[in-house]
Amino acid sequence: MNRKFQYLVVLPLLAFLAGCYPGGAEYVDELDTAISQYNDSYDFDGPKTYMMPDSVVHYRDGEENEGPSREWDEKILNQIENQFESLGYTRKYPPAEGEPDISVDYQVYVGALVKENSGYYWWDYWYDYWGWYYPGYPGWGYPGYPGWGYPGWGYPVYYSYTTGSLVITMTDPNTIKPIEGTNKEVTPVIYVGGVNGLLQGSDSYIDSRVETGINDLFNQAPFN
Amino acid sequence: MKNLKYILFLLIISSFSFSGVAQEKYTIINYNIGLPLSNTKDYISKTSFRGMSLEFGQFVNDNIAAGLYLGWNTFYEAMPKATYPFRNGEITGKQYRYINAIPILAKGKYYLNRESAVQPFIGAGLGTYYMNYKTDMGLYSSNTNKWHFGLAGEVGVNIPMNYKTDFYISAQPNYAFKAGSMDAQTWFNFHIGFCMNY
Repeated sequence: MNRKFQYLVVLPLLAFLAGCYPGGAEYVDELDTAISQYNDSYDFDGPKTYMMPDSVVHYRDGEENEGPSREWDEKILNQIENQFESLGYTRKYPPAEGEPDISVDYQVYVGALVKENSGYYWWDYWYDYWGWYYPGYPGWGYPGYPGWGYPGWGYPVYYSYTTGSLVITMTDPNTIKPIEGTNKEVTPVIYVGGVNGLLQGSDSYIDSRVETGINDLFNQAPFN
Repeated sequence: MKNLKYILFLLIISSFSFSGVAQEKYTIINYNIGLPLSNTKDYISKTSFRGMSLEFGQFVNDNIAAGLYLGWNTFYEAMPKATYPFRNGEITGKQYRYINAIPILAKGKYYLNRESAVQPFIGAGLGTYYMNYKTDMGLYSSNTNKWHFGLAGEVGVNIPMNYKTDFYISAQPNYAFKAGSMDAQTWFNFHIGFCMNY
């Protein structure tokens, strides 16, 4: 077989050997997810009573954030309260000093977690992916280059992005259990719901995505 | 996936150096269209227009040929936002689903009439299918690679353009048997390309 032709045949192999992951998310909100996990032995149908703190606990990179921005706290808590109310739940508030304790079915906690992700990877394979490469999130410009890198060597590609998660946790304060061998107690978590996505975009854009995520949580089991 | 790329590349390059017996050899290069069926269609329903194949072989007599077939198709579908259940929970979001299917088959063909202007043939292939399944959802990705044993049939025609080159069209059903936790996969390939005879 003509040698020149053989080498021409090799050229289409370049696309073949690259593998292919076309398409993918084009907008940041297409990367948003809402996830719920719950203890199915509990009856979540109303009427129920619950207590919820009037602030959101903020964490950044795994540690409690002492001075976070609380511009969305009130809106988030109001939306959660409205969702519980539509399910027939009644919010109770801690008693004033001197008044007797109030018993409720659930305790609800809301946390906001922010994590910075950064680093680099070495693009050193000339036949590696073309198109969007993980974590080729939209809006970056690179490393999503189509085409080929440099054979035999490569170059570092730096990435940086911030993710945010809103976490709703429900516990049953009536089933507190002691931890064996300690003088501590644990309250079982019966529901965890999380809204997760990239912290990217304008304030109003992020605000609408959080609202949509909370609505998605309450459209999932065990509430729906 | 990277080791597979090395293996495939070496297989292709080494097949160029067929030597010895002066029997008619051929190289076929095709553009592939993939139509998912059955389990494959349950996961990704859209037709794949990303694919190609190479086939290297030689005639063992006037009508029968044997060779090696290497193919590739990428199936992709962006699912609308939906809620997916799992044990004691649910997740809501958009999924992006991918299958990269790479058949590596030993193939045989029988040509009914190699003297006519249109040369029909029937064929069969046996070998392995390397399948890469990827699902992206939110900031998470799930990736599974499986080697499936599989079979293929083929029916098509060669249409000679000159004494060295034929226009090539064929249809090839593929069946990759169940492998581990991955169900059997089925799809139809349409090949359009050229056959170089030497």
